[in-house]
Amino acid sequence: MSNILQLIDRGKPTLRGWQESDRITAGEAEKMQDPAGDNPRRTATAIPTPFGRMHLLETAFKFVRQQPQGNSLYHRLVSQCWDMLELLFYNKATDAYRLRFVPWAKQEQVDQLRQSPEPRIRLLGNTLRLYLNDPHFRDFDTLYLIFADSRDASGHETRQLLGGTSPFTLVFAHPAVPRLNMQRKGDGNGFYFDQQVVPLNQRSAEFQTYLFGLFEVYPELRQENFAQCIAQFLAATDKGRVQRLAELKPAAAVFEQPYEPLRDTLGNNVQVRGVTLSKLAEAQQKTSSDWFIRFNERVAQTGKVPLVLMPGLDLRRSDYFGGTAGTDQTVVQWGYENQSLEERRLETLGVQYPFLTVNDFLEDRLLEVPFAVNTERYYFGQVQPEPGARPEDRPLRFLLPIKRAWFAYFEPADLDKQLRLTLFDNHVQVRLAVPVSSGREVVYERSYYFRPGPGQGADAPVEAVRSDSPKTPYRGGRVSARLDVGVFPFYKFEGANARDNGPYYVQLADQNEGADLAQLRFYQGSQVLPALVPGGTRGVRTRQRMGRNPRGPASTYYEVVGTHFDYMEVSAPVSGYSAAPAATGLLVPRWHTVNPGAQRYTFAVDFGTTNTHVAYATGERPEPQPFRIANEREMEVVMLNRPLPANDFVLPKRYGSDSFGMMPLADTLRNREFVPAFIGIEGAESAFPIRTATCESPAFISEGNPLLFGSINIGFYLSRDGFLYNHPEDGRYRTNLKWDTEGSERAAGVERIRAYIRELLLLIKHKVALNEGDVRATQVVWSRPLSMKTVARRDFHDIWHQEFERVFGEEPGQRLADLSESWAPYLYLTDRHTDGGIVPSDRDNVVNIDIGGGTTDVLLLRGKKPEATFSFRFAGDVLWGDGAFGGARQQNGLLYYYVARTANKPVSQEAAAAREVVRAALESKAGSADVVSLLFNFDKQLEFSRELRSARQLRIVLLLHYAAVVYHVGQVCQARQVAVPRHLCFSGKGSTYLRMLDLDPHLNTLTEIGKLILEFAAGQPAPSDFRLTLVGQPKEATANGSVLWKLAGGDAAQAKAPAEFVLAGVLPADAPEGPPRAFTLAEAESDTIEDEVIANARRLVRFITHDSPEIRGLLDELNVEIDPDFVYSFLDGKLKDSLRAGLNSLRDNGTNADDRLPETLFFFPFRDALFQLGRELFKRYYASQSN
Amino acid sequence: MSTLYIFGIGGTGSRVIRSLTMLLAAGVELKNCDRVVPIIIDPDATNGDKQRTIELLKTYQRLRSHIKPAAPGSSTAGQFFGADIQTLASLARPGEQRDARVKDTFEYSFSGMEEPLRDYLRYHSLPVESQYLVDLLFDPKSLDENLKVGFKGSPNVGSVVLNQLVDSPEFQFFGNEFRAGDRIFFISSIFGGTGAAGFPLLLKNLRDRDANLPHIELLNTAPIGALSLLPYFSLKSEDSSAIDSNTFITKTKAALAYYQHNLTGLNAMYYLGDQAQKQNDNHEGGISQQNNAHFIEVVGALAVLDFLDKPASIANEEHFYEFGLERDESDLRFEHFDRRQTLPLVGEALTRFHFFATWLQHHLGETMSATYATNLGLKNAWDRDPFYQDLRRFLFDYNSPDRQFISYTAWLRELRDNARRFRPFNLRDGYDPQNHWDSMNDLLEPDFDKAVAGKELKKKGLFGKSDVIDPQKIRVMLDKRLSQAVASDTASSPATALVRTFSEVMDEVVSGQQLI
Repeated sequence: MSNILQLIDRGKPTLRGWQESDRITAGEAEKMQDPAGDNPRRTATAIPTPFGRMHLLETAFKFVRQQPQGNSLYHRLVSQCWDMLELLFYNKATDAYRLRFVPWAKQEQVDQLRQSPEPRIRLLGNTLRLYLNDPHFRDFDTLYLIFADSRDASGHETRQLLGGTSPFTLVFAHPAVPRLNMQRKGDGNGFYFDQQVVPLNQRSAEFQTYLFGLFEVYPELRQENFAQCIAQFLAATDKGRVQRLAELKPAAAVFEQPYEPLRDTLGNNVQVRGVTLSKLAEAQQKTSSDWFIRFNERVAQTGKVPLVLMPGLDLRRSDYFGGTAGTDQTVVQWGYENQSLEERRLETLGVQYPFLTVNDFLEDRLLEVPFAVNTERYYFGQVQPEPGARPEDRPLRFLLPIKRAWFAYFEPADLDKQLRLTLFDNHVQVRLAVPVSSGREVVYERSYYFRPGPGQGADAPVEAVRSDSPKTPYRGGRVSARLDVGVFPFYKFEGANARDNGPYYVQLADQNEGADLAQLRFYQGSQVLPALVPGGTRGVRTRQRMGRNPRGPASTYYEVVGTHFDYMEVSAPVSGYSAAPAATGLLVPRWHTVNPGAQRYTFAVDFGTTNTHVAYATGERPEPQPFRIANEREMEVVMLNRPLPANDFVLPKRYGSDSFGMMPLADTLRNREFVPAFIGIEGAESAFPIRTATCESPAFISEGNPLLFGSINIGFYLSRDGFLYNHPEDGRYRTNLKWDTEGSERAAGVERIRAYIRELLLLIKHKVALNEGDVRATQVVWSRPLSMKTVARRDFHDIWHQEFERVFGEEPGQRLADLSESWAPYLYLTDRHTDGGIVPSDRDNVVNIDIGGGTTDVLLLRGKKPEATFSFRFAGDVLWGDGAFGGARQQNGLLYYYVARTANKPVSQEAAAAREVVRAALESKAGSADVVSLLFNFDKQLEFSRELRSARQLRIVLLLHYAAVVYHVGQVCQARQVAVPRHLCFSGKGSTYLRMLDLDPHLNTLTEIGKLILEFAAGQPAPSDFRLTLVGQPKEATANGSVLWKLAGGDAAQAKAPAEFVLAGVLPADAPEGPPRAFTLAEAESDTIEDEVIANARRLVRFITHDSPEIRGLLDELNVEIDPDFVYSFLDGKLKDSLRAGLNSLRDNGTNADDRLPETLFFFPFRDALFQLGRELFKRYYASQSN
Repeated sequence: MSTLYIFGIGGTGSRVIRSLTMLLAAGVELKNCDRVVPIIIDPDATNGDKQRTIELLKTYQRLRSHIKPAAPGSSTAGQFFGADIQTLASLARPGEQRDARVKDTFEYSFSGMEEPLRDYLRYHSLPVESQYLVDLLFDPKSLDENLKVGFKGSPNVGSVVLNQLVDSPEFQFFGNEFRAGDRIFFISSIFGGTGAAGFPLLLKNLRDRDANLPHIELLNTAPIGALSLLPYFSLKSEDSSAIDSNTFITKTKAALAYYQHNLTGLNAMYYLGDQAQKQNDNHEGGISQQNNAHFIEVVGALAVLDFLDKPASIANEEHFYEFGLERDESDLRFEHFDRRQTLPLVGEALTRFHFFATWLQHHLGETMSATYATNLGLKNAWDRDPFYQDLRRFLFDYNSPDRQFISYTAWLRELRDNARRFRPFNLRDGYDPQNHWDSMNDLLEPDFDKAVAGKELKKKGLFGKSDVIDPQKIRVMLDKRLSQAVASDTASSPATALVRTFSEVMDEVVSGQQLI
């Protein structure tokens, strides 16, 4: 109290009564003691003007200047003003709150109010006019209303009036300005307008720099009737800085450089009494954070580097973003499914900046497959059982629940570092530790519960339990996906060699229920590989092959062209919930990265009518070997399912059906439609030579543009796949490919061969790559039959070249060669690396007879020089088929014999499976040749060869076959005036019957008979040291010879086959005059020629049955018994029809009347006649014995 | 004939005018002024302070209408009810056609006070930009609450609403009546709502050359004084109340700062305030806002007298005044006023008036048959004559309606019971608000010797039993003077006679003693 009735002591205690004093200044007023402690709770608008709020803020600045510490109304008001200026300073068009400045033009607005017909509105206008005369408002032409527009998650637009500009303090806030859901910049100091006091010196340095600079550059701001209160405040806050700036005298242009003016809705600068308010240019705004994803530097980033955030992440005391720490209210959601990364706004900052959260990387649901997955060949991170459990009790049966977004930042190998799967009894805990810029990791964790509830089927989906709170766990669910995936090949090149990658083929076997099939998508980095467009060089082709069926999995095939892929996204329909979105999971192959080495590989392909062989050799190992996939390194197809443990089983068994868990039929699908895991090793389902067959989808013929595997593939599994014979709707094996390019099915035939060769070349390429050979130096030799017509031969040539270029990525040049089928076996026989045992010499003539399934190719050498080569279609099929000219199937006498003899014979367990296949083939009315091929394949189990040994009455057919071939060779020798060869060599799969015929390992009897026939045919004696050589592995000879030829440099002279010689096949002249002439088809069809051909055939038959006592004496050695008259007369009756049918088929296959005969006519009479004979002999001697 | 227009704005204005009215009733002299026209501006129609003051003014005016004005040239100084207090309407000159809307009342009648500010401003009809401006300038609570209860301590609201005054018929009439030599005085609080807003607003308008008022050039140049009351009481804090005394100081500071730079054209500024002593019940206005009279209001009333004392030339100047006591104590008596200026101005006048009231309270009864009483016919008139009824009401709340206690006695009692305590006269203890009248009847000290606080007279005579101021002697004086008065001016009314007689007699009584 004072004797002066006053609230402040003004130092005038002597006043008495009303006495003159002086004005109380604002400064004095500020010293007034407030018994309430200067902490009024309510906004006081004590200043008696409508603009009281502006004045009040000015007052607040003066007060806070004197009392910087505190939390009074004034402190809060000042802080609010800083908030506003700071908000303006940092605002960006992309912020959650978009600022808008709407001008309130003083004169215009006041006039408008004052002219209103409504007295109250006039009153407002008059009043405003009155007070706008106050000194501060001079030159204050426009007040800008400051709006913040925002849009909530549902798209609802909110416009909030935040405040306005003020000639006292630049800006002032709305009296009830709402707290924005936007953090202040800086150390996590809460939210804009949250009523907290954040002093200027605790605000961002950038903002302070701007503010101090502004007041230096625009001195008018410091005037009493302008923003002096702030100027004084700044001086009081940091006098040093103000002084330094004053000395520095920054030019306005320099000062404004980092800023850009705020603009109102009309595009004008937002000014307060001529001073433009600015914001920090966006380019200047900091984008620092402790939480940037530390992406793999090899993964190129284009956009902004996102932050890695998650619910419950403590962002306080860290640089959340732009130098600002998070608050305890900064709550990141589990997911922002409706917003792209770019659209997202950082929680509580409101800044639009991309960030990641848990759902971006982790799926809601696990995809469970019905087997343990291969964690060695696919990335699954670190997989471990729960503590105390054994790994074998906790197999991993899931796809990766990682989303592909992860790959926008990382490479597959990073999964090993970041991902850990812990397997519990009822859930899988997934931890993904994502590295961030601060050096820390943000661990995304989710537990996926995979046991359906009680009473639900094992496959019932387990739904994820979503959470919208960081405190509540977000539980992952599980979807059962009965599917398997195989990838062919399973390696990739890197760097410059990456051009050699692909094509990749991926099999998706899908045994789920429901109409929809699972699907794969392929990604490189975060880019999905597009569907391959016609003419495109990079992309994916897709073909569904098998639809849903009760017999096994559906299948879909993908061809990835022009690149490797980093991972696949599997999308599986949720079983029984067709409306539900498909569940997705990733599969990331741990590619075998191939480093091309120097080793050069040479392969040869003997694409035969019945069988195909692929052999190869390298410079280091020049001995030809059959193509094999022999070990895990060489595996070209890798399935998702895990192999059985090592050491317990042979390799193929480990990767066999038992490894497919609850989906064993996927193994069949792999073998039937895709590529076997192993070839040519013990326990493998197939080995080269293989039956020449494709496996085709029923749609193959009709669909066109076939996709390898998607429509057709090499029928590796033919000999094991009895099932398919009776289910053509699931596909069929197609044999007799080689001659399919002739005749009406030419287009489909070409496609079959193309697919077959493509797959062979792929197998070759991948084998080289996986053995770290030089893919670009790989050579391939294919052998070419002589008897093939020119058109067909050109088809082959084109197919080989095109497919080579397609598979190896460049024109073949010298790397692809072809060799006559007649040459190749000879080269093999004479190679010093082989066991052929024939040493070429100038004195000895040699003949090699390569009997295939369809053709026999003969090379006749005079000394080391080729004398003649010829080919004829008289080969294995004649013995084992159903006649040369079509007709009913399964009519073959030898086959009948075997079947009749063994039908009720008990077989070993081992043989039972083989017999099932044969039975199925028989039931499916497969041709005799196909069935016999199976029987040869299972000869060990089913003893076909052995059974035929006892077919005494039938074996004459085999002998006649042999005799015809040798006889023709002899006649050629005579015609060419070549001495009878010393070496009579046989190769080719078709020649194996010779071993059935002569049980003696040295084939002494057949040698003797051969010699007799040669002499008879050639009319001259054979060399005394005449030898018959049968190649140990007759089928391999051609391919092996080709390999050896290529290895030896590929003598061009040899590649170019010797001139083909076609002996008409008529009776030999006693003394031939000059070289025998060639006939045209028209000539051949003359009665004279026909008769002579028949006579010549009859001559041979007669020689065997009647005229050669030596031979007759030897028949018993061969266990051949004949009724000579019956045999002779039966054949005699059939020879002519057989010849005629042969001639007709020539015409049917496009040989014109004027064309030279493509082959000798000699065998035409036998081709059907021998088949008829076999059938007849069976009927005659054995039919009654069978049931 | 110069007039002082007093704008009493808000509750504070009413309270100061109440004290001023008491001083004028006591005959305190007004310099340079022939009549006082109080205009109470308070949009809170039911404000208790305002109602009481208006009732007081009306009573004063009625009382005075019974008293014959002094002859031209002669002063009424020292005479009870000497000052002429008039309503604005009553200024109409003979023959002058007065706008019918200008009511004959001391208060300005506001319109639209039943509405919230938002509706009052026709917010929804405003151009949209101005709607937003209004949103920025006024907080939502201010916008949406009814204006009736005043401005809730929000001067920024008041500054708009009160401005209706300027366009009103009353204000036009005021301008019209304004003459050279007239003066204007504003009474308002700086910390409240109405007063804080109204004073600068009206001042600005009066000094605005473009204001749409008659005689604006006179108004622009007239001497204007103002009493701006700083806080002198605090309210019991209630969280729900918009008036929060915690903001009083805040507001005061702000307003003072505003005044410094934005208030021009004021010739005499009277600052007055006091450290809060007592918490008053917190009322947001309405009938219950009826605050006990406070010493500061008495000092405030003195500011009006001081302003009138200034020469007319003050119109060109700018002065600031503060009030000093002799001593700083919480219990004040006359002796705390300075002896040079204030005490002479009010001390004797109030004591005369107090003796007048004391006589009528305690001594009239026993002298009802005395000459003076008989001359005035008091025996009959005391209970029936309107003048006496008004007089008794003015002094003792005789017939006052419940809670409208306007009387001098009540005023004294309230001053005594407030803090600072102002107790110029000794009152008996034991005021019982529940039994107002009975308490009041007994409140004044009947013994003149003991009446003036701090200046009690020591009894004379043997055993100290003889009164110094002897009622018998006063009666004699009254008898004598009244006879003279009646004789000298037969045209005078009994009321005039009574007032003049008592004024003279009490002047004699008081000046004869060392009371002040």
